[in-house]
Amino acid sequence: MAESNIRPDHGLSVRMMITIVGLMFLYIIIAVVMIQLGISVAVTTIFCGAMLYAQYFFSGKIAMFSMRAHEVTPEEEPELHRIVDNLCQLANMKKPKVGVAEMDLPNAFATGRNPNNAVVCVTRGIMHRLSTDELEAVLAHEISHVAHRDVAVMTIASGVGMLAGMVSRMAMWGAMLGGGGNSNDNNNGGNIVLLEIATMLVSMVVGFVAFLLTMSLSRYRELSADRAGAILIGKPQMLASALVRITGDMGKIPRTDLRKAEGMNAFFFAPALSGGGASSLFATHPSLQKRLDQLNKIERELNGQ
Amino acid sequence: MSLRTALFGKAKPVKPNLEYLLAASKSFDVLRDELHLVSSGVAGICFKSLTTDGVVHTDEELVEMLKINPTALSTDELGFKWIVEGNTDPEALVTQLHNSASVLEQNGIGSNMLCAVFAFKPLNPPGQGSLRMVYLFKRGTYYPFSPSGEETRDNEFELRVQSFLGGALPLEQDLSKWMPLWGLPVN
Repeated sequence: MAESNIRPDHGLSVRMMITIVGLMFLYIIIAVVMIQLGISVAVTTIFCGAMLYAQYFFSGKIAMFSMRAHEVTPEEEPELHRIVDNLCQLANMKKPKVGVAEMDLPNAFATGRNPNNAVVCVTRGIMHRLSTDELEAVLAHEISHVAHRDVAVMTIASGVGMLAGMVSRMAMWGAMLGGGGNSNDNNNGGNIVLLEIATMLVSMVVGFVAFLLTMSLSRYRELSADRAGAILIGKPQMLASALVRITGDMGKIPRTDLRKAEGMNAFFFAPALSGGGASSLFATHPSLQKRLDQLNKIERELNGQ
Repeated sequence: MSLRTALFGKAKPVKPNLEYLLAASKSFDVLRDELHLVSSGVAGICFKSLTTDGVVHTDEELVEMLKINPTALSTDELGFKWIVEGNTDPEALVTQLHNSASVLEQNGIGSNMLCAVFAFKPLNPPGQGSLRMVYLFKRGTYYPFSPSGEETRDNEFELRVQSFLGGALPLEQDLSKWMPLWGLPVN
């Protein structure tokens, strides 16, 4: 990352550290809980390690598979490869594999555990909808994800949430089975059930906090990739335009005439309040408005204002 | 939306917000310096000639009321009235339009005023950009509209305009409200 031209983002690094430390802390709690449940330390460690490694190692294949994407050669998609070649030269980084997902939904993603195994992938739908310049801006965003090693970080981050979910489920089964109580010592049996219920509650809370942390880290990394990508090609408005075009159907900017809309909705009356709120807390991507605002800011900076 | 409005479905007509109409002149410098666009000397107001009391004004009454040349008033195919005014001095044009808007409001048409539109042209023709700045009376916000064909618009250019005008004007933040006005008479 240091040698590539993708600007390191210090805010990003700090936030990455905080999140990783926070998640490590959660990890430890989970491990302690597992051990408390009577699972041996060795099994717990192996289990946690194996889970993370599997997720880390197969992340690229899992993402490609779930998007029904396949790798394409320069002969099959010369235009796509040309754009990626140019961007990698600009960013001074190793060229990732290029993939296409045969679906009409406009989308793009980067995957692979490290820059050597990275794949940038676009859907057929996005290729049809965007101009070459816009596609370049989207790919610059994805390549920034690769340079920032976002896949590895997000995999580790989301691993904790998954693990917490599994522990809470295990504890729940434990509580249900233990509740029957075949022990003669009623007092002791009750304690174990209580302990398991407590475990379940704790891991649910842990899972939820991990989930929120992951989501907020993810939103932040999206903004970072927007920024790095826009600066790389020096055309923030192209990414803004692409975002507007693909977020929502043909973007949010409507094609319905103001005067016709007036007739259809009781437009002459007060507009209903539009609310943000909880939804943005759970979203993996920041709102379009937030991303556009940032790109506008970069546009002004590049214009020397 | 208040509880009462929601329960009984009785929305009150909204008063037009004329407060920021004069702010239009703040955009002139930015548009000229950053995007090389200048006022085309034409601006207009789009409304329905219906008062809150249900009186429909005739064209003659409107001309009388606004003290304008009859040719400045037109009706489009969607049934909306347009006052189109011209002035080579952009500042004076804004004031002129604000005066007309005030007169309409005073005559009870306020809640049927849709938008005001300012037209811009390239400083050095041909140049890039056909731009209209649309002011929504109900929301007190502006948005850029750049028609590029009969029913096509240049979203990229509109977003560019947005990126420059944010500090100068109250811009409409909800992009889904950036509705086009196809074939508008303000050019």
